[in-house]
Amino acid sequence: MYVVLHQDGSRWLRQATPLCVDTVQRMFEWIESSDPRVQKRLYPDTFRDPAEEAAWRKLMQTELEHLVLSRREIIQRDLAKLRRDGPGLYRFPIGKGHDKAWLSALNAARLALFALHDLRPEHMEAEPEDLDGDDERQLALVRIHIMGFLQELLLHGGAGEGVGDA
Amino acid sequence: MTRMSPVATSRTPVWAPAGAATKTVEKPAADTETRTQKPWNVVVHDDPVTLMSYVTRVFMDVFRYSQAKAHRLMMEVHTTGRSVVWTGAREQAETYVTRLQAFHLLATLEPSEG
Repeated sequence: MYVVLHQDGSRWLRQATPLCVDTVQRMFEWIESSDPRVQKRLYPDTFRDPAEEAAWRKLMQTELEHLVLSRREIIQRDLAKLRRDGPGLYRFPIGKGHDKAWLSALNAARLALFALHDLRPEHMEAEPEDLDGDDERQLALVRIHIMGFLQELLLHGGAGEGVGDA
Repeated sequence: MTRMSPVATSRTPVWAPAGAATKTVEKPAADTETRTQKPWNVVVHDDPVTLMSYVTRVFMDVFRYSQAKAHRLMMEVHTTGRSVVWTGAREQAETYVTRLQAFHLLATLEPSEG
């Protein structure tokens, strides 16, 4: 997989594998999970004081959830342009100005999958096949690495673009 | 987040002549005043999933830090488990922590000891 910068400012991920495509298409399934492990990580406590925390959460959680929704729309628009790119491979754009949405959604999806499968820090350094006999967890770890690879491509491949004001 | 509440700051003292005017002015409630004046720390905590390069980029964009400073703070998070990435007025600290959380960094607010 690699990234190509187009003249219109968009970037295209080329030669994406079916697993990569399936992973990015399912990102929001994990991000928007109501599983308390995911909720706890994506909407963590901000204050130690319980009263301060309750007031903060009342104000901010809805705002953060709206942000997730707007990112989902941006990414769905890009993925609607998914095309074949040779036998068994695909390409799709990261539209101009969409880097921020992609970077943060990829990060959120990695965090959500990590929480959903009860992975531990040491697993991040392990090979997926080293995870004891659980295909789902092995696949989750592979997906986490794929999304990390895509983040690195966006951060370092092609025209640099900040992540501010997402 | 700071709220102003009307409080009577100038009651008629007991020794004042009868009929003396009671003056009511808008003043921040005492606890609010204390909270806004006290500096707050924006703290980022380590997590095992988020990429180091991503954390550096977020610091550069949210705080407009140089790459060197952003990298140093990211390394502090990575090696010690946490880093105070900004200290100052509460309202601005809340803005920063919101932006960091929007990028899913583990960010919290705490009163500064200093």
